Amino acid sequence: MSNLLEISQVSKYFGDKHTRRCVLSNVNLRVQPGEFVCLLGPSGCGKSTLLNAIAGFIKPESGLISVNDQRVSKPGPDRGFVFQKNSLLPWMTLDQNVGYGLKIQGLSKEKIRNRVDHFLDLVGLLGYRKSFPHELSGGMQQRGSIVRALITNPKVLLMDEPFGAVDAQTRIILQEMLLGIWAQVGITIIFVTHDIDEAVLLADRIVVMGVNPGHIKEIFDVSLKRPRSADSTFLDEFREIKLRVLRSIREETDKLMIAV
Amino acid sequence: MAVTASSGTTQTPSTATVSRRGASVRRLLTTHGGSLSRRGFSLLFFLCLWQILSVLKVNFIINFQFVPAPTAVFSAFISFVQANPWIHLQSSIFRVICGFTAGSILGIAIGLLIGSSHLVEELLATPLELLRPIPAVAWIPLAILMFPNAEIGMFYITFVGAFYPILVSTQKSVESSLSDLLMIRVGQCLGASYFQLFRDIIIPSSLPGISAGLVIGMGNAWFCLVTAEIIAGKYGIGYKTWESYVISEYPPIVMGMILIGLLGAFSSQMILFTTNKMMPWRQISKGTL
Ligand SMILES: Nc1ncnc2c1ncn2[C@@H]1O[C@H](COP(=O)(O)OP(=O)(O)OP(=O)(O)O)[C@@H](O)[C@H]1O
Ligand SMILES: [Mg+2]
Repeated sequence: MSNLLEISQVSKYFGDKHTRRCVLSNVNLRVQPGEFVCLLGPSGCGKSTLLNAIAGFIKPESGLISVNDQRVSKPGPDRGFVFQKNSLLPWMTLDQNVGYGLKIQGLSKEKIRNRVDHFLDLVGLLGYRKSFPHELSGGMQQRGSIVRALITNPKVLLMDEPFGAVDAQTRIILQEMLLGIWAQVGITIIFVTHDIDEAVLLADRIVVMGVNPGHIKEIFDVSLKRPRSADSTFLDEFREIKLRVLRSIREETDKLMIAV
Repeated sequence: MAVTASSGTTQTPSTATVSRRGASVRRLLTTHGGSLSRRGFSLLFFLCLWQILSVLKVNFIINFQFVPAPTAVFSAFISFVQANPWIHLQSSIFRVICGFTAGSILGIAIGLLIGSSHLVEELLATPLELLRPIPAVAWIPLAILMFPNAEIGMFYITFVGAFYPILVSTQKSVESSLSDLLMIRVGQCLGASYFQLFRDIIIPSSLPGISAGLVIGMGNAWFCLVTAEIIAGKYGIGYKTWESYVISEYPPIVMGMILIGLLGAFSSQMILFTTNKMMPWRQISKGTL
């Protein structure tokens, strides 16, 4: 099977002549269609930078990123993005926000409405279709952003700590909901998080990134059987993987401590 | 809201009577229902003070000897109303509406372009910036020379007044919208074109700033009206005010000033009201500060 996402020899620098710093160094990664990949690593290791490069928000200095054999050069609707928080457009109601991608594609009002209703129903927000974002809770806004990104059928969904700003109980609900949607839609997901439990619960593969400069340190396969739920976190297998990942990240955070 | 309800059971008798006596004053100062009476009260107080100062012809630092009293201004107003006021109002309102409309259209359009494009900024910003500090009065001689008739000259001066605040605030709010990468990225990810990003993201997020510019621009258009109508031949509230000054009739001057103030305030409020209606997503809660 061919790769859906291919990242080869990607390097990224930030800063001008004097402050130039390598943030990503020779990153290589291949992702299969339908795979759920979590990026994990200490703060500042370049997780968001890598995700932004895949989205096309920033251009790497060298290397190649391609999605579905198309070279990435700018943002596009083949890559959906879910931001950490507050990314619904404040001047649009929830249904306008969710349907915005379809409106851009020029679908008829009728079609947009049907599809928006279907997706809002999927995340239990049908009753809030006419609410403005500021009238929704943080968790509801995140559910809205997820279906807004999904509604245009992107090839891959890029998520940057999407549940980082919600409370622990809501996070579990959102995680299970995401797993449900992922199983149903069959989309490829690249998910950035710093929560190891979250990564083990969601991922097929966990990519641990290292620091100084940002690079891929180690990749773990998570073979926990699906469907998974919050209960899966009590399995021995879960704990065993978690421990291995934890050790791997720990080595990197220790490096940071010594460096400082 | 219910502040007065607090004077109740747990208090000692003496504090209770004190608070009951103070209740009506307190109600005036704190409750929402008192808002209108507070405003009315302050206006009345101000008018009385003015009447006293000018009747007594107080001359201490400020000289009230030649300041007409509110009653004199009121009778000037009555005679103004009796002698076909509509023709003056009509000409002034028409000039302001024309100047303001042209100022808004050009101010918003050029502001959007300068705010979003380096090229347009480099081409237009410098001459516009150099013309901006020139006061309306300074334009009078040129306006008389440049335009085929007085009406267009006056229109031009009110236009200049409205144009600049709208231009600058549009430009600045577009620039700050463009600095909000998140919202623009949201649009880009969904495949929005340059035009769609502009229409659906940059303009809505700039609306509060543009609205502020429109309110100030409307006020400025009135502000410049008196200046503009110095050119005028016969009609207009600004003209009336200027003419009264030339013939040393003081009450109509103050009446003209008040009329311009009222019309200006009213039209600014209308702009505020309309633009707020266009932004139903905003919730402004000053009370929570
Ligand atoms: N626009 C930028 N300009 C300069 N440096 C940047 C920029 N964006 C990120 N960096 C630097 O790149 C490094 C990686 O940042 P990045 O945001 O990718 O980290 P991260 O792994 O997502 O961290 P976190 O878990 O805290 O979100 C950081 O050291 C940061 O200082
Ligand atoms: Mg990050």
